Amino acid sequence: MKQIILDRINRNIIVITFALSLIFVTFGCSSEQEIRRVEVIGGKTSESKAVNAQEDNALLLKELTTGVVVTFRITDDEIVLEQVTVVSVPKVKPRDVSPGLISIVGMKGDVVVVKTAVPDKEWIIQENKGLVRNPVRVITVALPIETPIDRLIVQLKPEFRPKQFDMRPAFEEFCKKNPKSPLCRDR
Amino acid sequence: MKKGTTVLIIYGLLILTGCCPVITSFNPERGGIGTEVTIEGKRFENVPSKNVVKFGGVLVPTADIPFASPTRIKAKVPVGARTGPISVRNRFTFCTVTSENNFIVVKPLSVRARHNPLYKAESHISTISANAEDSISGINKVTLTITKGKMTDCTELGAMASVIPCRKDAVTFTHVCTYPAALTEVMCQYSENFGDEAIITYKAVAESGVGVATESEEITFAAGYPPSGVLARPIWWHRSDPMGSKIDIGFFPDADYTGIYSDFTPHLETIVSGAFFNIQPFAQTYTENRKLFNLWAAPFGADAEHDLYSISFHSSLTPITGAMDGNVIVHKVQFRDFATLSLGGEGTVFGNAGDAGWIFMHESGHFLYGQGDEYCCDGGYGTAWACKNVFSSQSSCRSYALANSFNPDSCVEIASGTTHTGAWRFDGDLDTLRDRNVYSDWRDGCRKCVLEILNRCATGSCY
Repeated sequence: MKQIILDRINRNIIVITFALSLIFVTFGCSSEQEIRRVEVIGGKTSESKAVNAQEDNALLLKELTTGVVVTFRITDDEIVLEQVTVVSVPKVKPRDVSPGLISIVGMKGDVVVVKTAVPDKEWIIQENKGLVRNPVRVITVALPIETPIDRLIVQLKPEFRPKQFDMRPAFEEFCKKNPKSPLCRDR
Repeated sequence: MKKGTTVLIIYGLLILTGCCPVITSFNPERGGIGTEVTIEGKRFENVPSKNVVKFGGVLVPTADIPFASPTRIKAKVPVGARTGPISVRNRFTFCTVTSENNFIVVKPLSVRARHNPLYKAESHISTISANAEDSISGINKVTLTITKGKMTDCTELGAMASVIPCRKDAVTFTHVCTYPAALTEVMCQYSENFGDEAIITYKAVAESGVGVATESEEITFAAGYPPSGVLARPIWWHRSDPMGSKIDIGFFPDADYTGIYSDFTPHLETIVSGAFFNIQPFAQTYTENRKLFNLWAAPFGADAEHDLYSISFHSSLTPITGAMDGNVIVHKVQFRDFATLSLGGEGTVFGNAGDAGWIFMHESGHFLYGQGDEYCCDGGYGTAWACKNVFSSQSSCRSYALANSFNPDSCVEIASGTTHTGAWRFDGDLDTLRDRNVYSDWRDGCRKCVLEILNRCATGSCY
C-alpha cells in the first residue's frame, strides 16, 4: 500500500517536472528583447495667463443651439410622450428617414421646423440568447430648434399611422421660468 | 525516478526544438508602420492565423499577415512596433523563434498625447504625457499647451443651460521639454492636481532636429470632484471639433453600483483604456481611430434589467442620453450583456470583467454598427441595415459576398456539431462578433460596415 502511494507521488512529480520543463523551454525561448529608449524629461512650466471665457468657449457655443429633448415610450405600436426638456443641444446634422428608423417632425403651424430620424430599439441582442423583440422601449431624441414647435409628429414605420403630440404646454412652462430665452422672445 | 524525469525533459526538449520554427532572413531590414516584410525560414504554419508574428514584441494582427507557407511569411509592421527582433511563434506548439538581427522601424515625425487617469471623480493628480518620435532627424523640443478651468453649464456665459460643459475661470500655460541631442523617441510629462470641478484641455507640439513641427490632437477631460449639476463629464473630448463628426459615447453606472461612483470609475478606466488605448489586435480599430470618438461619463444613474431587456435612465439625464450616439450601462454584478441592434443605441458591459474592453467592443458592434452575433448557437440572428455580417440563407450570403468583393466560398453556416442555426456568415477567423479573445478583430463583412460608419464621420455626420 505504502509502495503504491509512493509510486503515485513519484508519477505526479515526473508529470509536474515535465510540465514545468515544457513551460520553461517554451517561455524561455519566447522571451523577446524589447528595445526602448525613451527619454523622459520634466521640462519647464510657464506662468499662467487668464483666458477670456467667451473666447475660450466660442467654438463650443457655436456648436450648441437652442433645442428640445423629447422622450417617448413605445409599447408595440402605441407611443406615449413621457418627457420634454428645453435645453441646449449639439447642432448635429439630422438623419434621413430610412428603414428601421423612427421619423420625427417638429412643426410650428404648417411650417416644418425640424425633421429627423432616430433608431428604433425594437430588436435587442442578448449574449447566448440571440435576437429578441423588445415590445416596450424608451426613445430619446435631441432636436435642435431655433423657434418653439407646437406639434411633434412621430411615425414608427411607414405603414403605421403618425402620432401627433402637443408641445405648447412644455414651451409655455419653460417660458414662464425663462422669459429671456431666445425661444421665448418671439412668443 | 530521477532517470525517468531526465528522459522526459530531454524528450520534451527534442520535440519542442524539432517543432520550432526557424527564421533565416527577412526583407526589407527596415521600414515604417504598415511595411510588408517577407520572413524566410522553416517550419512556419501555412495558415496565417496559426503563426503569431511580432515586431519588437508588438503583435501583428492576423489580418496583416497576408501570406504564410512553411518557408515564408509576409507580415506588415504593426502599429506601435519598435526597433527590435522579429519573432514567430507556432500557435500550437507554443515554440517561438526570434531573429538574430533587429528589424529597424523607421518612424517619421509624430506626436501623440494622453492623460492618466482617464477619469476619476475625486481629488487626484493627473499626468499629461506627450510621446514624440522621429527616427530620422530626432526630436528637439516638445511643447504641451494646457488650459485649465472649472466646468459650468454655460448659463454664466449668457447661453442656455447645456449638459455639454462650458469652462469658466480658465488659465493657460505651456510646459516645454527640450532635447539638445535630438533624441529619436521622447516623452514629455506634466503632472498636477487640477482641483475640483476641473476641465482641462491639452495639445502637444513636437519639433524635429531640422525644425519641422507637428502637433497632436487637442483633448479635453474632466478631473477632480465634479460639480453637482447634471453635466456630461468629458473623458476624451475633441472640444474644438463639431460633435456631428464624432461618435459620442456616454458611460453610465448601473444601479448595482448603489451610488458608489468610486467603484464605477475604475471599471470605466478598464473599458476605455482596453478599447481605445490598446495595441492588442481586438482594440486596434478603436485605438487607431480614437480621433473619431468623444467619450463621456454620466454623473449617475441608469438601470439595466437583463430579464426585461430594458435600460432606463434617470429623467434628469435625458439631455445627456439624447446628445449621445451610444449609451453604455456599466454594471458591477454579472449578467448576460445585451445591446440594441441599431445604428446608435444602447448596450450593457460587465465592468468587473477582466476583458471589459473586449466586451465593450463586441457590444458596440451591435448598438453602433447594427451587426449581429456570429457565434453558435443563439436563438436568432440578424442585422440592422443593408450592410451585413450574418445572413438568413447560404444563397443570400453568397450573393452579398460576391456583390461586395468577398469570397462567396467563405460562406459557412453558424453551427456547432449537430446544432444548425440556419444563419450564415463569411467573416474570417477570430472575429470580434464571434471570438472572445485579444486576437479577434472586425473582419471582412463586419469590418466593412464598421469602417463605413467611421468613414462617414469625415462628412460631418457619422450616421
